[in-house]
Amino acid sequence: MTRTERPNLPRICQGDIIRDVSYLDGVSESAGVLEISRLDFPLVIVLTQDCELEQEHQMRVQPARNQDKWLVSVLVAPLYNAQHVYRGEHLSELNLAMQPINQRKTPGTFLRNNDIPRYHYLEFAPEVPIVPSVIDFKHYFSVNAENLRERKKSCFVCMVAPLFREAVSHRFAAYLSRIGLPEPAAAEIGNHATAQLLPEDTPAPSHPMRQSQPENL
Amino acid sequence: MPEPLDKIFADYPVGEQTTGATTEVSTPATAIRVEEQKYGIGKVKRVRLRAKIIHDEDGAS
Repeated sequence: MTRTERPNLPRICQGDIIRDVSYLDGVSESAGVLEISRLDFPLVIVLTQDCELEQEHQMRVQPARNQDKWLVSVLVAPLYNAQHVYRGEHLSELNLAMQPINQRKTPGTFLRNNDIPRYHYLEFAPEVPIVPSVIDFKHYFSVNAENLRERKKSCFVCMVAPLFREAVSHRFAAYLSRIGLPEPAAAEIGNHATAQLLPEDTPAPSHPMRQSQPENL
Repeated sequence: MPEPLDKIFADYPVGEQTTGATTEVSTPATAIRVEEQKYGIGKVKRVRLRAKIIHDEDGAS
């Protein structure tokens, strides 16, 4: 169960859950007509560090010599209805099909235990008007800070409590900083059955990480 | 302008949940309907807005 709070703060806070937040998907112009494509997200959670948000707020309410703490935008990630995520249907309105996750088998358990780096599962107390939800770290985006401040005035739902929100941002940072290593060729990992299928004159591709390592490692 | 959530969920039965995507004033009847529809709402939607560019007399747009 994720703990939440409803602090009466005028500023954006890390962990704020805000509804009906839009993302400008694209702007094009043709024959004198401007077309703006916008994605409307029912719920998002703020990922930007709270100290940065607090410093920017202080800079705005107290006269400062400079605007060094000014933020261009605030980082958020969407919350999807977990039931939609299980079915892979959470972006169906955009004609996008996602990979289904079997709710009743191991993948569903992994999702709810936050064992899948890409997702963060949230379940709320009954008084919080949000169904069990999933943050998809792959779909993070930024929102103009001023627009989000205005949006919060009417669309603030709750704030994920400290520690719980830090757990979210810590997992997000870990997801962003992951290193994708190239798959080693079959011959390199000793899979002789596969290696024998290769022509004899095929050179084994070198492993880029191995080249930079000292011989004694 | 959507109504504040406090007002929307003022009469919402304990234990019932929605995605928060409705702006209707909640009554027990609407709450049940929202509950029935909750897996059909709350998805990301795309909106396209079109506007004609108007040029001023001096050519600026």
